[in-house]
Amino acid sequence: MAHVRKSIRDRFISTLTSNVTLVSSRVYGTRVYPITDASLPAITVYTGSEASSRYNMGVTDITRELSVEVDCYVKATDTFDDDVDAICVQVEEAIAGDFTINSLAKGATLIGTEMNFSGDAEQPVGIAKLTFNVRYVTSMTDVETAK
Amino acid sequence: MAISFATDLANMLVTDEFASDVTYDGGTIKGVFDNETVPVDAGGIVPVHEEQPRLTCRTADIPSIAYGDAMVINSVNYKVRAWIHDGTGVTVVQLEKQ
Repeated sequence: MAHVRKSIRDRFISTLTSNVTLVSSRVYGTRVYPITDASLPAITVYTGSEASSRYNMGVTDITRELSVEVDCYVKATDTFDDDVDAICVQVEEAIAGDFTINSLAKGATLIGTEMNFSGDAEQPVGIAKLTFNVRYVTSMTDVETAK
Repeated sequence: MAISFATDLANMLVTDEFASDVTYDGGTIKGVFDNETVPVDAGGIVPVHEEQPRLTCRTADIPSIAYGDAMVINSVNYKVRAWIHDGTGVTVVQLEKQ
């Protein structure tokens, strides 16, 4: 068993690996090292901040709001902006199709998209950073089981 | 006696040293081609390692340089995307690989 947060992250990775065909299975979880030129296009998935609070008085459940960040990387000459949007289509539809993250969560909602581009190197790099809010509940005494 | 910097540059940019032949604007110019791998931070959680092609050449050899001009270096096609004149007769050209 593992923390539900890890299970949610793993589910994101497997869902995107299966459904985002434009990156050819190059989906990396919590990557900390640079992406090489040959590994593009690619996606990185990591879990960021999480806010939590008591579900209600009298119970020992915690409701949690987890940020899951999905970064989509592309490299292209003229179509880098269109390419990154095309990957966003597949990411958003894949997560929407698994709204409860395999019943680990109450729901996963896209709450923000940030686009960035760079022309510093041999071809432009485009990055879309998609932030999903994932709401899930655990017991205080068992954080390995989603409720 | 005046020193001809342009002549000095021409002597430095010889292909049996560090310079390469560059096909440009229907002719051939010479320049030092660099293509080091650099980390590109475009806003993702991690940077992307990508090559960064640059050509250092005489400003006098590219008097009408323009965005999108074609260059061929070592049999690779590039397009001109930006350039910086240093004011002494040397220009660094930023290239995009095609």
